[in-house]
Amino acid sequence: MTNKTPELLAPAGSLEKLKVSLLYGADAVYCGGQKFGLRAAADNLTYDELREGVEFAHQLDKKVYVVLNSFLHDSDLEQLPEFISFLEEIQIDAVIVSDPGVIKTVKENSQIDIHLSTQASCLNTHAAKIWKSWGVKRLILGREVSIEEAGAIKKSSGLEVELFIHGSMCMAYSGNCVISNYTQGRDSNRGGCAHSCRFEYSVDFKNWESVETRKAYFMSSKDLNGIALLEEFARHGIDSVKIEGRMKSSLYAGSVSKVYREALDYYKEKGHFYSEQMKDWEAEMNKFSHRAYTEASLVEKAGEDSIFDERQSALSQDYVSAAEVVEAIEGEHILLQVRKAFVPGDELELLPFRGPAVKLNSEKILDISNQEIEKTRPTTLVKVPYTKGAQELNIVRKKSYAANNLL
Amino acid sequence: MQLIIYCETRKDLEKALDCSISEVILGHKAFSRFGRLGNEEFSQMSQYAKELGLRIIFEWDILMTEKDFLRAVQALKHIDISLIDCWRVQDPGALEYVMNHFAHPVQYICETGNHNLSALQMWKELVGKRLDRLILSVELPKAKLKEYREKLNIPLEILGFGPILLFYTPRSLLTPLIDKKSDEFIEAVGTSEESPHKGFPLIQNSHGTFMFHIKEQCLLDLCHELRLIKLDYLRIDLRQSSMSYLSSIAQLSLNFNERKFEEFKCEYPKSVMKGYFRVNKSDVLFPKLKNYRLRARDNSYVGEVIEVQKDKHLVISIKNKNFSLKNGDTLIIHNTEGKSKTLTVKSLKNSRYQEVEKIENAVAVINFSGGIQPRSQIFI
Ligand code: SF4
Repeated sequence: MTNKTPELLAPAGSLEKLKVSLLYGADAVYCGGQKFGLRAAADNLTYDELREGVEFAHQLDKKVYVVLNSFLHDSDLEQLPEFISFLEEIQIDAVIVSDPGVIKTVKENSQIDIHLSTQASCLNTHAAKIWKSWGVKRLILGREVSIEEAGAIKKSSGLEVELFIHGSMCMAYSGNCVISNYTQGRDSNRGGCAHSCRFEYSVDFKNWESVETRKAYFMSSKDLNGIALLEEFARHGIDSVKIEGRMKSSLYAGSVSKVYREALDYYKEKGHFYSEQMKDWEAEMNKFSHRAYTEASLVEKAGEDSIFDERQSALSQDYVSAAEVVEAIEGEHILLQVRKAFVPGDELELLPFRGPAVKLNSEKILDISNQEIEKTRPTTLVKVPYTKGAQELNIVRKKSYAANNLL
Repeated sequence: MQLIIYCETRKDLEKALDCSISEVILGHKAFSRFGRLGNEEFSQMSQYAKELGLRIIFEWDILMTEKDFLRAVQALKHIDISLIDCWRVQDPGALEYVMNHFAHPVQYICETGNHNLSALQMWKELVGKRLDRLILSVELPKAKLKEYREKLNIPLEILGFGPILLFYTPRSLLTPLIDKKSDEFIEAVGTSEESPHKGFPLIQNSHGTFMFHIKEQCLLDLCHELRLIKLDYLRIDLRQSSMSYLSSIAQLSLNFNERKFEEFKCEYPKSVMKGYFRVNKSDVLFPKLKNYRLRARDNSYVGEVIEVQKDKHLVISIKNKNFSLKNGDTLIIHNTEGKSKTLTVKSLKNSRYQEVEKIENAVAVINFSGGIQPRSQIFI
């Protein structure tokens, strides 16, 4: 029996991450071009990279959505039609849009499907009707919407619905924070967010004289993790579950995609998640850098326990991203690009695109000129002995000793 | 250009009338972000406003998930809206609802984004004849307000005096810091070492938590310019200060006087600013955020430097599938500091570190050259 599962949608902050996300199991990726998206500081993709990314995805029968979700000013809009024509030419699968002016421009210049960005904060069935009347095909609902509410919006609107399932969260209603605009001179709704909500503040309760001034990261949200709620997503017919993180590492994009892929495949086959593996999937989510997890508003409104105290961050990482496979020559070597230094004998694991992590033999490490080395350095290339199954773009992670020491 | 004002008490209504203001915004606590009126008070205020001949705007500016929306619709059944003249909404769901359930004119709040003419035209066409006005973002500079007023040909409103809302979340962020119930009204001030600005006013109520700019918006000295561009309505928000300032504000808006303005500013408890009224350059810093990779590439693109061993070699990843690298080729390398370097390939090895004649779509080890870092981009 095959049970219907939501599309798994993963971030692609660069061409490399696009490939990593798809190879590790995402059904679709979302990425930005050079402009018009909300991540000004992300690598984003050039025209050539977008073309290559779409070809790569389509060969795997997967999809690419391009974000055009800034609140654009008139001068930005002038440059948009040319980019839209290009996107249509390379046959991207949809654009992600939040601004009515951008919707209009996309419709006037192409037949590309339009997904409404979470940035537009679509939260209810009545709002859905308006966006539907403007030709939107899919709603990426606000992070404040529960799975149950999303199911109701889908039912009443007849539109596809997408919900965030994993990753960092904006504390504000999306599109409703302009702190950076006024404090840093950077428009947060055009990609310039300075993450002021992650700062520590001293909060002075002027009108509550009995309360002392408190120092706290009171505006910072824990990270979303909906793995334990996958059955709810499936039950309410959610069309797509989205992983946040265009600014994050390949380790993150690959690891999270892999876990959700395995879980969704399990459900597809069995129709339930009553699996011993659920513990493994949950454990996998702790193997890369993240803030403490919350289910935020997926079940009921996010409460006090969804606020993150930045001082907890040191506890939240079992593994670090050590390297990426640049080349694997069977019977010879695996060429790695080092991200975080390691030494011979370190516990290295290679994360294959499918199946469990594989231990890498790191007893003897060579540099590219085949000289044995005692310590690797970030951004250098090293060779370790070939391990079966290794492929280009596989992620290699290293057990974090900081985490070990804290346990 | 007319002034409009939020009113919370009967005295506020009288004050508005005294200042020749003919339109008032009433905030019911279940619908308005900072509204304080319950059902009974709303009804009494509406009646009194009508007695005074004032036009009543019902503010429904909260954002609502599906369940919140259903609750709001239920709550609406218990509020006497017989005397209201107009709805003021921000959530597109609220807009859709009032359009289909009531016959009043509608004011649509376009303050979140909608920084282009096309977007505003979309809202105008959607609401059609019942559109009373659009409320525009204070991030729009004067030139844009002028252009939109001319091209849209509908009444427009902006915030002329009052707090600038920076942040709106439905979560109760202050409750965890003190021992209070989450729907109680809490006021505080937040300061971060990491921000150049100190003392952001904070409010938490049943709708969530709000942060405001340390300075308030003030366009009083620019009213003559606003009149020239034919702006229709200027909103005054004194809910965080005092209605006692309304007379001075109304006076200054009508007959600006530099000395009186300076006196007013000394007296007013908060600093004020013009925000983005003159110019909005909130995207000029983006090129600095963009990293060096974002330069345009074309068919001359070869790939990227992935390792640099000083005085020994460079390792490059050839990404252009149609390119074959040979000894003697001249490469142009854009380093991570934005500088260009030219390099002639004199030594070419594969990843096994064996000399080869050419390499395609793979890793290549070539001769070292200074001033080049990993992630430098290579062209021919
Ligand atoms: S500062 Fe925080 S709340 Fe504001 S836009 Fe950025 S991430 Fe969102």
